[in-house]
Amino acid sequence: MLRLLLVFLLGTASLPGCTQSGVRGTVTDPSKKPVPFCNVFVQRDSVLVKLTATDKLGRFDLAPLDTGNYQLSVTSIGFRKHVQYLRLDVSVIFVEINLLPDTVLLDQVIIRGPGPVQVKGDTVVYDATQFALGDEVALSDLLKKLPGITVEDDGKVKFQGKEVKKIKVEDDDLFDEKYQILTKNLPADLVEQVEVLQNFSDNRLLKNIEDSEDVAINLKLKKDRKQTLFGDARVQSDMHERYEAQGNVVSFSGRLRLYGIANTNNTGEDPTGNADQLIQEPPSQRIPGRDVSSQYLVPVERPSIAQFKRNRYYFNDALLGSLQGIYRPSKNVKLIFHGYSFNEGADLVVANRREYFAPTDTLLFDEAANAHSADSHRFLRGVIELDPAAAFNIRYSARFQAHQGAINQQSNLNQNGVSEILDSRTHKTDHLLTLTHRLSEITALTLDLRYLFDSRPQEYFIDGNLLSDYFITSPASDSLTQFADIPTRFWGGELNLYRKAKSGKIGIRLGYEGLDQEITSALSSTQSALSSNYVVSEQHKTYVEGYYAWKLGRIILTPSASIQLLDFTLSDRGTDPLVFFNPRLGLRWQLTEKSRLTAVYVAGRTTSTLVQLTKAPLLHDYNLLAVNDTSFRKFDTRTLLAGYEFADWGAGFSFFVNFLHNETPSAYLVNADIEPNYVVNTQNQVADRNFSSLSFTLDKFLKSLHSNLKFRWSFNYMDFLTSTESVKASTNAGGHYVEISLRTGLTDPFNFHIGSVLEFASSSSSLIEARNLNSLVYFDVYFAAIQRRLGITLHAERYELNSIDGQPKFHFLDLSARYSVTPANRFTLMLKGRNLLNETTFGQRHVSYQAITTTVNQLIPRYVMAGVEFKF
Amino acid sequence: MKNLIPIILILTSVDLIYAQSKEPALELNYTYENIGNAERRKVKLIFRNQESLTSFSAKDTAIVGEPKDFDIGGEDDKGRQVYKNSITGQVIFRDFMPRDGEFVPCIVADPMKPLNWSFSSKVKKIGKYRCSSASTEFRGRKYVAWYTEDIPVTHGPWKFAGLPGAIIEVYTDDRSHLFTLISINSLQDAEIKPPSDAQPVAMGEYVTKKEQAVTDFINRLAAALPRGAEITGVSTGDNNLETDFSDVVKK
Repeated sequence: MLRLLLVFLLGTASLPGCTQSGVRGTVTDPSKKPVPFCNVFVQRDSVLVKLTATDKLGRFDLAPLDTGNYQLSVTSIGFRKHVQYLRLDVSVIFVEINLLPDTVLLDQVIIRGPGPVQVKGDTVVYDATQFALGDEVALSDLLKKLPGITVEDDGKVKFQGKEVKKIKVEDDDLFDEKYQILTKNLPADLVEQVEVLQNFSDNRLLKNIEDSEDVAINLKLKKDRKQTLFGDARVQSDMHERYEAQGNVVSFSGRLRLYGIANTNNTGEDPTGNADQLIQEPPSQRIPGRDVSSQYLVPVERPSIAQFKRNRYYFNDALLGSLQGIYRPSKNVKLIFHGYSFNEGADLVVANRREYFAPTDTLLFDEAANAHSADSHRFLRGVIELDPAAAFNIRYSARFQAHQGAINQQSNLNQNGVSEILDSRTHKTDHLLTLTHRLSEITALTLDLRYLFDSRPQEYFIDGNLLSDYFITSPASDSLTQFADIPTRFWGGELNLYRKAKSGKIGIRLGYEGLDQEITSALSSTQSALSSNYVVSEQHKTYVEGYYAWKLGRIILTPSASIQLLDFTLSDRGTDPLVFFNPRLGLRWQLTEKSRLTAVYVAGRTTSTLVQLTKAPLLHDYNLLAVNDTSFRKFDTRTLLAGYEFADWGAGFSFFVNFLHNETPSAYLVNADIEPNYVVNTQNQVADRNFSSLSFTLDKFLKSLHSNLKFRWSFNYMDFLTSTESVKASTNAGGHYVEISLRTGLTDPFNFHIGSVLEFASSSSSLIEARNLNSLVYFDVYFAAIQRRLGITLHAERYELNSIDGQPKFHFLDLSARYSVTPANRFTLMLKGRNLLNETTFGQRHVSYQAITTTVNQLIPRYVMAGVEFKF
Repeated sequence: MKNLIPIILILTSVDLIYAQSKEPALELNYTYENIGNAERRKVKLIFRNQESLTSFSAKDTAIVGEPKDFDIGGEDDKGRQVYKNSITGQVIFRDFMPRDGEFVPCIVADPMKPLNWSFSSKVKKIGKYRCSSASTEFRGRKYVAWYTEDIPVTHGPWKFAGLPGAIIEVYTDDRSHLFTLISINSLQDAEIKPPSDAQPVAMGEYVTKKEQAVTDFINRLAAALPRGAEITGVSTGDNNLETDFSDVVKK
């Protein structure tokens, strides 16, 4: 009995859950006609329980439903929403619903909130927090996730294929153009917003007015993370001789931001990117006197091997320390400083064999050199930026640069052993003041004032005298010393007017430049002075330049021209007034979405440099004497550069053609007088030098092989007049470069890249007939596994240099391996092996119209290093 | 007075519809953004009588700058379409799939189950509409939708359906894909029918070919790199709306 009661009670309790209850009904319009296919749904506590629709006869069925309270809604286009409340018990209820016509207009525009990407004119703003998935470590990991942005292996960033020029942090240009260190190290979780600035101008007041195609990125940081100290460290060593160590520390704390870098290695790596550029910094900005500098008479750059990076043959010992910082004492004032110190010692062991061509005979120079160089560079840059008003700013920068270098070389020329010492120093100061006034939305004015002083004293000593037949002294001297300096003083001002018109952008420039240069050189033996120069020049240049970037549909035509009035005074020759006219025409034509044509034509005129105007001989090397043309000359040049590109990435096909033609109707010619122990290069003026080059690059994806086939062919041709031993001849020289390779695109783990390069060069005249053929075959293997945490790369190369006697074949094998112990690359183990087949030397051959030079360099022997990298 | 004119027009048109016994339809215009592909499209949803057709425009606007000149999805005049019918339960879509290296249009009957929405009590106002929130998971992505019962459209753009009102916006939880309603129009003579002008393909074949196309594309990019350059540690994220077809295709 009790059991029966229990069953009854349980059954009653569970009734609401299993009993067929629900709602059925019909829906009609005001004329009582059924409304088919309207939406019928029931909700409980605003949560949808069931959704259905009426059939052709306006009937609906919302059964079964649990018992309880419901809100029944019926909606249909053209009718007002019907809502009624129901209480369902164990039965199915039937409702008749009559819909009323709707009078509400439905063509409303929805107001949208800001999305993750916003385009504001030339600026694209990404909300980084909406793209970050949490697995990003460095800035580069985050940038890779932003649409339109790609990050290359070396940390260089591209936006829609265009290289990003600068990456700023909170509008501060802390890293200049060397921002790779930032992309590889800045923790991604600091970043709140990434702004891509297209048509970027360094000067904020020239934005959208200057004709610029540059792209820059500005990072906005999260407020709560600006106090963080972060960085990374990497150490590798073979536990015997070779080592590499690098570290970065970054601090953002309030008004002061600091960034420190340290790097030391003896594996031939250049921690500065390009150490030679520290001495001869390339002009990058549009400022007055951008090409002005002094120079060293005896070159201090070390000879390089074209086929390799210097880490194969440069026996170095490098140490770099750098500190950059920005301090903002107030909202309108910004102070930037950047200083670095770079020391490097290097050994080079080179054997040279030069075959000089003479009409009657060939002279052979055999030399062996063992050079040790020690360089130290110091650099300090300070910048003050003032923004006293919204449309006006002032920027002052001062740069101080010092270089001290010593080269100690033991040479052996034709069994004559000599020892040379070259001491070089640079003192350079550079001051630039820029005032900018944005006159209106479309017009801006800038004034640049600059002062530069550059002095490069050099002392050269040789303990032998290979020139004793040239400088006949009695008694014969057994050593030579040359002191030289070209102190250069520049001052100038430039007024720029930028204006944006409807159909393009206009720029007009008015300027004045003054240049004082003097050249002092004194060559002496132990007994007497042999040759000296002292020439002072004074130049005053007034110029006007203009350009117009004219947009005509798919074509942008940029005509520009400059007129220069130059007053040139030489201390020993008087004044020579000159007028120059340099026109230029640029064209960018987007033919179709996939193809584009670009062309530039430039006509220009330059003049002799001061060194070319010296009367007495100058020593350029221990057995190389230069005797200059002394008269002041003008050189006209004409250059045409044209390119066509077609890229259909969808079809896996791209094709590029580039053409360059340069004509110099009047040019210097070096007339070489070759003696058994030395060469005298005398400069003369000759006519007609033409240079042309043509190159094709083709990429095609081969579906059947899952590989990309790359083909590259370039050809260059040059003809000019040559002169040797007073015999003039017409020379033509040319070369071909052909590369064909196949790179697989297979799914991990293995991929390959195999290719071959053929280089052919020839030079011929009535004096010289020389040919040169070099070939390279390479095979690279890429292995990736464990979600790419493990990566191994193997590079194999085989060179065959047909023109090198003795050992024409060289084989190289290099290995790199990385394993990220933690998934987010915070701790990584590394292995690096170079020159595993232990080649000891590498040769190269160079053909010029004077001589064929064969150079054999000693190489860094095999090493294998292990190391670790961690980020904090 | 200005406000009265459209109301009168609507009323007149409703009368006309009845007079011609034609059913009115609504056109909902959305934008679709695929952040990973830097793509933005216009999406048109026409809904009437539990039937709808979603049409994606060609990629006429890249999110940033010019449209990219490579595409692994294929394009033509008709573009991608999705037809849905709540009465028959049909979902038929038109898309592009690789065949002999070309992207060709295809028509696929999708055997998907109705979406299982979870409703939250969150409410917000978008424009003039009071919107409620619901979320669901579908083929590898989690979605959040904001819908309003004020607009009697139970189909959303693309394959979304089953909410008691029009979707004002729907996005993935990582916000890599989003549909946003821009405007609504009444239509008098809209035609809603399944896409037909392409070759019908079984869902299984479609999925296999589509997955292969993405892998091929990434590998092709790697093959185009110059010597010495490598792609390391790059997450080859799938930017498609659907990333996991395990509900319809057994692996």
